[in-house]
Amino acid sequence: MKIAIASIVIALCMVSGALAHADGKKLVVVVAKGSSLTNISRDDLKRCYLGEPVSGGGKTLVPFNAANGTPDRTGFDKAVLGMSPEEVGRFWVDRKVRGQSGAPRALPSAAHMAKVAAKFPGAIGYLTEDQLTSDIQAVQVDGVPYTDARYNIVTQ
Amino acid sequence: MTQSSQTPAEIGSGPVTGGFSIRRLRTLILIALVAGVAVFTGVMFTLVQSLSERFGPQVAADLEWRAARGAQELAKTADVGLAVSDTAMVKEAFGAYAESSDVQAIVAVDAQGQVVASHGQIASIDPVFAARPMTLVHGDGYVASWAPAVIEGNQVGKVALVVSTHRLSDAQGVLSRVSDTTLVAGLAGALLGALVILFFTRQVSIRDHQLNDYAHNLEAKVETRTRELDERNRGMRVVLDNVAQGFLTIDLDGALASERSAIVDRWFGAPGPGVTFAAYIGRRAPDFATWFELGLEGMRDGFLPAELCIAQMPRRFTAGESTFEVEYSPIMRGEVPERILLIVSDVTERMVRERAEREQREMVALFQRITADRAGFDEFLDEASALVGSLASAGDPVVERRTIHTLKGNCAIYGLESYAALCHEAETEHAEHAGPITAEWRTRLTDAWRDAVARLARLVGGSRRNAVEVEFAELARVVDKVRQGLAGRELAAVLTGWSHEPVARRFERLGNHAVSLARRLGKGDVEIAIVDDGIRLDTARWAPFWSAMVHAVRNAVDHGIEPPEQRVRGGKSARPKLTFTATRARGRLLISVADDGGGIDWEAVRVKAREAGLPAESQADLEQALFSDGLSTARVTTDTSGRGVGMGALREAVAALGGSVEIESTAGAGTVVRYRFPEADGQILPLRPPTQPNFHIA
Repeated sequence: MKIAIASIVIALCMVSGALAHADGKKLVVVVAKGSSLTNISRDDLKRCYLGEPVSGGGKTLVPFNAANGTPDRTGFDKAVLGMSPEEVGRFWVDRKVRGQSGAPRALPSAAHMAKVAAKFPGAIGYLTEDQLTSDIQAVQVDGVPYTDARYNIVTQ
Repeated sequence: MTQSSQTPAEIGSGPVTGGFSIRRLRTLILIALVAGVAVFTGVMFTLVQSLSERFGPQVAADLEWRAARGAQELAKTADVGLAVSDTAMVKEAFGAYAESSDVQAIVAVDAQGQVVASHGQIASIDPVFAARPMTLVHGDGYVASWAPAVIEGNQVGKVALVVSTHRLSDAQGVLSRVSDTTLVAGLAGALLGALVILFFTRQVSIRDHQLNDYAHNLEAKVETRTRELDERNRGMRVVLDNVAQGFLTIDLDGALASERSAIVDRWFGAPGPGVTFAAYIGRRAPDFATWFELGLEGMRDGFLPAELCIAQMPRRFTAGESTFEVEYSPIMRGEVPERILLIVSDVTERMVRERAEREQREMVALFQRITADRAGFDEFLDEASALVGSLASAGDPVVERRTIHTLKGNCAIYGLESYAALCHEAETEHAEHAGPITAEWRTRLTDAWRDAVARLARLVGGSRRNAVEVEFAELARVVDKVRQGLAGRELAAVLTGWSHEPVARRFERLGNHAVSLARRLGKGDVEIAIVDDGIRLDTARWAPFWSAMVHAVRNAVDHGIEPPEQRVRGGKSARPKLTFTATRARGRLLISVADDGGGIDWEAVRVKAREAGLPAESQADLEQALFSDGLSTARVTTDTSGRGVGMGALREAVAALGGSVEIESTAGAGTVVRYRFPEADGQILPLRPPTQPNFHIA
């Protein structure tokens, strides 16, 4: 019985996930081509973007954000950090007041994001599926590639 | 204009003005100017230096801070671009620094030292990068610093910012120029001010001397003029003290000026301060003062021209035993009278003299009349004395007015003009009311007549001729009749008739009066025609009629006969004609006076009659109205006629003789007044055959 209920819940979740996919584009977590970082846990990804040092591929990861207010930024903060733009703002103000490190650098465009991710050592960022270039590579999140239907980091 | 007698060299040491000489004043002003300019320049110079010292280092520090801080900011904003060697990103990161005029150059190099992006120009950036990061490098005209671009502990490049120090040097140059300019301007201002002061003080000095000269000349002129005026005033005072006329001036309120002839004070006493002429003279001549004040009020009001107001002001007054005449002369300010000059003359003696001369002339004229017609003159005296006697006591006011009017006319006939004038004055005085003559005027008329009779007594003597005048022709005719056998009873009747007065004599007197009156009135020389038929009338019984007849004659001349030019325009002879006629017909005596004048304006009579409340429907009504007291068609009352009194007196006299009056008047042709009387015994002497006419006065 329990298994049946769980299956129904999972099915509903999958349906809702499928519905979610239908609303936005998938945001692909990217690093430089050839990096040894091919997978990152959602929790590490969250800590990395909340200013905590996270290593990956033998380097300390340097997170780069899309510009504030863009669908990419809003969708990534909601999916990874679980925060709305206002909550993200209040979070970083609090950090600044406490004298801790600042927010990840925001880049003005997807092209900048692609270029920085490709060239800057340890850089990690995110792009939509159609913005991927050849000198960067996608990183799985919790072992789920962006091509998987369960991948749920999407633009807002 | 008097010019200064000083030379320009002397001017500098000019006169003392308010305790300072011009030179001293000029020196003080110059010192003050130089001191002021020096202080101003010093203050300005110090201020500029202070600004330079105070703000120069601040500007330098600001530039250095900007170089150091700017390099750090640029390294932080350009770090990503440097990390990826993206020139565009780095240049975009330069931002506002690239637009600042203070920034001479920005150079960004990557971790390998390759220039990723740059802005501006600098000879060599190496000395800058050779220094330690975030330290200042001072070069020729710049200060620079560089900072590393670090991302997460990794240096991704360096950014050098070169800030130009030209702003500082420019500011210092400007301050220096301001300082120099202030100094030069101060000196130039002091020099210019000194020149201006020298120029103006020199001009002031020249003017000062000129004014001094003018003042001296003016004082001399004033002194001279004052002496002249004093001299004139003394002369004028002498004139005013000794002139026989009173000269006074008054303002339009009537207030007397202080200057006047001394004789005025002698005549009327010294006036009090501020007293008006009316109040001053009113104590002695209140009527004159009242009329004077009325005239002056008219002048003050300004409604009438000053000349007209002056013409209406009283001219003569009597104060005590003296009579004074006043002439007025307005003293004009432009078109407006400001004061009035009064010239008062004592005319008492002149009036006495004139009266004496007038009486003398009158006596000569009377003498001529007496000589020509002694009997008639005696009759006139008797008749006039009787009329004056009737005025001694109060009677019917209408009869009194007729009496005075008749007296006036008869006195005029016999040349007693002074008494005629007095009668005219009495008529004028009583014309406004219908009451009896005042007691004062009764006394004046009676006393004046007594004086006149006394004067005439010296001419005519106390005795009168008790004789009968008969023309030789008539005497011859009587003698001839007697030789033809005239009966004694008829002869007695003829001789008795000689004691009566010939009508021709009365006609002659009236004709003479008409001639002289017409000449006086400008009516030309009247031709007199007399037709008497030898009629004689009882002197005493007919005296009132002949006295009243004078009114018919005066009316005919004054109102009937036109002036010569008007007669000529009307197609008549320039010489008017007056015909006196006395005839008998069917047992009645007819006496008429005919003129060839313009005739009676019956419409005017009708209007006047209606105004007087008299019947005015028929011609008879109008003729009756013409003989009513107070009715006259004359527009102006003269001393000759126009009061409408005479014809009333005439009608009364005719009625007293049982007669009647008829008037026949034709417009433009003349008027005939006919008097018809019943014939009575002793009135007529029918010896002389009638002729047409038988007497002329040319």
